[in-house]
Amino acid sequence: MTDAADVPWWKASKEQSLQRKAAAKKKAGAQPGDSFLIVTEGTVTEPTYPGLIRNSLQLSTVTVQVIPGKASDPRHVIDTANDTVKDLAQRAKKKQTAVDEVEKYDHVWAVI
Amino acid sequence: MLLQFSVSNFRALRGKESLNLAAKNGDKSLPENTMAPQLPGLKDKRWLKGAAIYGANASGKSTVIDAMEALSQWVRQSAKTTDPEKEIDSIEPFALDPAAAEEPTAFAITFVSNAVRFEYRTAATRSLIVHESLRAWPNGKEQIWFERDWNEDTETHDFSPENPTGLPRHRDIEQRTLRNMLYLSKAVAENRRQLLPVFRWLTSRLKFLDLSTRSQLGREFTLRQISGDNSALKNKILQALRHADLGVVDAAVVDRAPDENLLRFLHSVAPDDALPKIDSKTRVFEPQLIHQGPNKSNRPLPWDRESAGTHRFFALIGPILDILDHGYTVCIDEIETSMHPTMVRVLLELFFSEKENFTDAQLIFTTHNPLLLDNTLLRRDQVWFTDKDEEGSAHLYPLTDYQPRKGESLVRGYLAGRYGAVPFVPHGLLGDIADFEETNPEEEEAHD
Repeated sequence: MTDAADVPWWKASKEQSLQRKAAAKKKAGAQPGDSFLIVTEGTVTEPTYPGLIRNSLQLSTVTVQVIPGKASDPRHVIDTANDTVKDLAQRAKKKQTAVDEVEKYDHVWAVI
Repeated sequence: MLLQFSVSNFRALRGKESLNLAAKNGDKSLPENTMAPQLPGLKDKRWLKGAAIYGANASGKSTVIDAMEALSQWVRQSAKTTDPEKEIDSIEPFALDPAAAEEPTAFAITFVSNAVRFEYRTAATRSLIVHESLRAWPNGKEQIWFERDWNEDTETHDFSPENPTGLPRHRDIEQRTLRNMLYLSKAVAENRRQLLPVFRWLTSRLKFLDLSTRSQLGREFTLRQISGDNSALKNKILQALRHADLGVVDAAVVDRAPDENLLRFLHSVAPDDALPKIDSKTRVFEPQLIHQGPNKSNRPLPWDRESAGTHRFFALIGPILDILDHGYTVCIDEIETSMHPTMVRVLLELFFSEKENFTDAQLIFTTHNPLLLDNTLLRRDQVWFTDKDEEGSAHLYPLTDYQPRKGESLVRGYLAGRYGAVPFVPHGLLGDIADFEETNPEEEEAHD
C-alpha cells in the first residue's frame, strides 16, 4: 500500500503507473489456484485444511478435496489416494467430470 | 476512455485496489476487443473496450463500481458545498477496522478526454481533503496542472507547483475553496473552462447504469427516444428490438390513466397535500411493443404483460446505443439481471464490434455468469475477480495473475474455484446436520 518510508500511495510524486503488474513468477511447488487432494486416516478435520494450506503456502486460492481413508492404515490411505486420482483421470477422459470439478489434482497428499 | 482506476479505504476495499484497462502485451487474441487511441507519450499502446468483474456475493465487486460512482458524484456536487464543516458524503471508509475511519479514502483515475490523457487523484477523510492533484499529457510530456496538500500546521491547503505548465494558477479561487471542497469542482464553477474536459468526463462521460431489480432507470430514456419523431437513435432502437428475438416487430408509446389501485394506495398513506398532483386526468406514458401473432397479424401487448427480460432489454437498449454513439465509458452492476445469457452476449458483442463501436466506448460490468468466460467473447486480460480475505477486506485481481494454461477451460477453472471469487460453502448452506450433532452432543441435550 505504501511506496517507500510510509508515504501513502496517493501522495506519490509520480504518476500512477499504467503498466499491468506482471503476474507473479511461477514458484516451484504450489501456486495460487492449484487443486489439492488430501487423503487422511479416518478422523476428519476437513474444514481446517483449506485454511491451513492457504496460510502455510501463502496462496490466495486453492481447491481442496479431503477424503478420509478407509482405515487407519498407511497402506490404505495411499491406495485411496491412488484410486481417487485414477478415477478422476478416467472420468476426465470420458468428459464425465462435473462442471465445477477440476480435471486433475495438482498436488496429492497422503496424511499418515 | 478509462485507462485505470485505483481506490483505497472505501467500504470493503481496505488496501489499494486497481482496475487496469491496458491490453496485455503479446496477447493477440480478439483484436477487436482492444483499441489503439495513439495517445501522446503512449503511442501504439492498446487499451481494452471493456472489463468483466467476477466475484461471490458480498465479495466487493459492486464496491469497485460504487467507488467510481462516488468519485463521479463528488466531483459533480462538491462546488455546491457551503458549510466547511459538513462531512463529505462520498467518503466511506472501510468499516471493519476502527483505525480506517481516521485514514483518508483515496481515489486515482486515469482517463482520456478530448484526446488528452489526465490523471486525477484525491484523498480525503470525512471532514477534509488531504490531497488533490491533476496531471495532463497534452503532448508527450507530463504537466502537473495543480497539486494541493493539507498542511496540518497552518490548517490550510498548500498549492503547488509555483508556476504550473499548462494551467495558470488562480490564487483567488484557491483561497475560496473550502477544506472539504474539491478544487477541480470549484474552479469549474468559477468558470475556468480549461478544466471542463476533465470535469465533463468524470461527471458525464463516465456513466453508471443501475439495472438492479429495484431500478426503473433506463426505461424512460428509451421511451423518450422512440416517442421522438426523428431521433437518430429511434431507428437503431427499433432495429435492435426486432433483432433481439423477443417477438417484437414494432414499438410505440401509449398514454393511459394512472393505475387506480396505486392512486388509492397513495392517498391512503399520505395526506393529499403531500402528494404531487396525480389524479385520473394525469397521463402515464409507457412503451407498447407490437408482436407478431398468428397469420402475420400484428398485436400490441400491454406493457405489464411483457416479460421481465423484455423490460430489461428495453431499458438497456436505448442508453447502450446512446453510449456507443458518443463513446462513453459505462459501468453496469450485475449485467445479467433478468437477461438471458445469450442476450448479454449480444450486448457485449455490440461493444466489441468495430462496426458498431467506432467511438471507443467502453463497458465495465460485474457478473456471475460463467458462460461469458469464453475466449471467443472476452480476452483473458478483460477478466477480473474480487474476493475477501480473512480480515474482511476485498481484493480486486486480474485473471492474468493466474497464468491459466493455454486451452484451459476458464469456466471450469472459475467454477472449481481455481481463481477464487466463488462462494466457499464446503458443507452446503445449512451445514451437515449429522456432523453437527456428533460434535456437539451437549447442544442436543440442551434442547430437551
